[in-house]
Amino acid sequence: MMSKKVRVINASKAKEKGKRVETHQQAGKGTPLLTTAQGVTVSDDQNSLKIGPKGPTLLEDFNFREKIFHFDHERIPERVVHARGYGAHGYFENYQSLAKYTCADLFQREKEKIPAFVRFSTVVGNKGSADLARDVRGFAVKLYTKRGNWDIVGNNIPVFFIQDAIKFPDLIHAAKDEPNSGFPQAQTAHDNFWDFISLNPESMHMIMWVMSDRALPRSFRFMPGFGVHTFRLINAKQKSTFVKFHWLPKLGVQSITWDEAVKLNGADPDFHRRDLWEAIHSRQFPEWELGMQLFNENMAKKFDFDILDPTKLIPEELIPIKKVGRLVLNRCVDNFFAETEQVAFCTQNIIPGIDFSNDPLLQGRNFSYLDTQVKRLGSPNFAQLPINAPKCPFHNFQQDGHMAFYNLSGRANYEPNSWKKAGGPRESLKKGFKTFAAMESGEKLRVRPESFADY
Amino acid sequence: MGLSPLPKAAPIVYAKKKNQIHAPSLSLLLNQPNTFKGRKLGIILSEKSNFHLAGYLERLAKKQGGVTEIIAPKILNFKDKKRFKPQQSFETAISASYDAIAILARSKDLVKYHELKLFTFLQESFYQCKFIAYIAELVPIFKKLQLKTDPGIILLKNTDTCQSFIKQCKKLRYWERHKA
Repeated sequence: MMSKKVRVINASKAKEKGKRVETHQQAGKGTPLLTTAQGVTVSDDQNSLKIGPKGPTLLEDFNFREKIFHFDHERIPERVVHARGYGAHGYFENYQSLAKYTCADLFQREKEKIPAFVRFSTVVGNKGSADLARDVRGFAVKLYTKRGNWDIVGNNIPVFFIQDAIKFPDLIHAAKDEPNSGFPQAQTAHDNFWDFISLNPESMHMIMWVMSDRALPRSFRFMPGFGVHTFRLINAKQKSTFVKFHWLPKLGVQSITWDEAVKLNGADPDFHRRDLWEAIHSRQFPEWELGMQLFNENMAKKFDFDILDPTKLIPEELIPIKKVGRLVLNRCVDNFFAETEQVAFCTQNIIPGIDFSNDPLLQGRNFSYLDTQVKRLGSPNFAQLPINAPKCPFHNFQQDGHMAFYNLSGRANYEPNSWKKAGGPRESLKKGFKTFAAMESGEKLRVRPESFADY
Repeated sequence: MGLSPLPKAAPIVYAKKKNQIHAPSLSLLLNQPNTFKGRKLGIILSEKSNFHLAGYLERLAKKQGGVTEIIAPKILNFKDKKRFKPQQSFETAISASYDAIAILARSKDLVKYHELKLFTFLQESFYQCKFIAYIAELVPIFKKLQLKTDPGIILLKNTDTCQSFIKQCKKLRYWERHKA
């Protein structure tokens, strides 16, 4: 063992020879140069600028300050629900033309493929919680169609706890960790939740699903997806057909046991995301078929439940599922934060040929998903992030806000205007989104429909 | 659930429906995938295991579209069988990570500590209703642990029994074990 005196001599000798004792890896041929965010090449990324080897650190060290500044602000708020999630890229392929039901572009031509991004998630747990919680799973699909992005923001269970979006904050407050104790994490196994459920009997159908094996999936790949709400398909003649969306896993539905979940959460809290990662990397691309339950107003009136009630499903025995296309996930993300964390889904992101029903939960979600992105992603320009941006042309007069990447050029930032070719984009009655002209009437009321009281 | 006192019942607005339709499409048990595609077989091996059978099992599982993972006492290559690369340490592996288990490790190859681990692994696989393949040498251990051999537990003697085992694995679970 070297004596202290010898070590000092060695250090002096090292200094005399100009040697640096810490590890420095230099850029060689073909290695990109390490730079600051301003593009300035860094000469020494191992040491901050000091006076002498043991002196105070200098304020003028812009490399150090910029590096630490950026690190200090790495974290963004997690999603208020569905914080723990994992995504992958792929495509949707249409089987055959559905022009009879919808003018939605992706359903017009046989075997046409469009890019897709899917994010699977738990609901209740924080971003760092384990994969194998007993929980509903989010199954959010973003379809980058030629006429805009369409988000089917679904779950792996076809019904939900509540019938009106106004109860969502209460539901989630009751489900998540209690405000005084701060636990339990990622589970509804506590009195607040069960107290809420006992006072909201409409939740019982969902409770049956959540307490079954459906809430403990073996893999994202062996999990179905559901749009939950009733939507509308609108064809070129503005005729509406009601629809419920289904994602049917080609590899079947499989669950794990509670005993396995408990052990896996300890041994491998990333069990689901690792499973998806490994499957895609070994080219075992998971696949789902898109199914639709199609029905009209007359059929809906004959059901003994309300199609606008998200605590009800339509049995396949009543309305069979028509398989219309397939979703294949074939590429993992390049960067988790840039893609999976920054992706923003919103139920209001629909395209011509798709429309909403009056499902009160859907109507509330249409507001909430857009609203929450500003807090989470920090800017109204979140749709300009590559993962969220349409892959079709987009032009509008939205401007400014934090982190504006694509602000307009020229003088036209309003319409109508008289600037002709320099006047920017204009609406199109022929190609634009048209809301289905449903007849609505009644008094302004805060009331739950009587037909929803069937539980 | 043993709740006492019970919470107050919610008011009933609608009478209980008569003639409810049955919905078998919602049943997981009635709509089992009947495939091992995309699933994982854990194969426990030790130095003097029957690697011929292990290799055959691997090929069969892959033919069904499944994947395999080799579990061994140490994550070191076997002396003469470098093709079989252990991916999981036996000490830390858990049965929950796999859809089915094949135990070709010879208890003589396992030191005392690992033998206790084998007992736990077997008991958990059994409790989780997994399909389990084993070699004749493990019969005394099954008896010791009082694990009743049932159709979900397959003795591996030759390639035919390997084929039977992989075919059974397509059912994913031997649920009948809990009914016994």
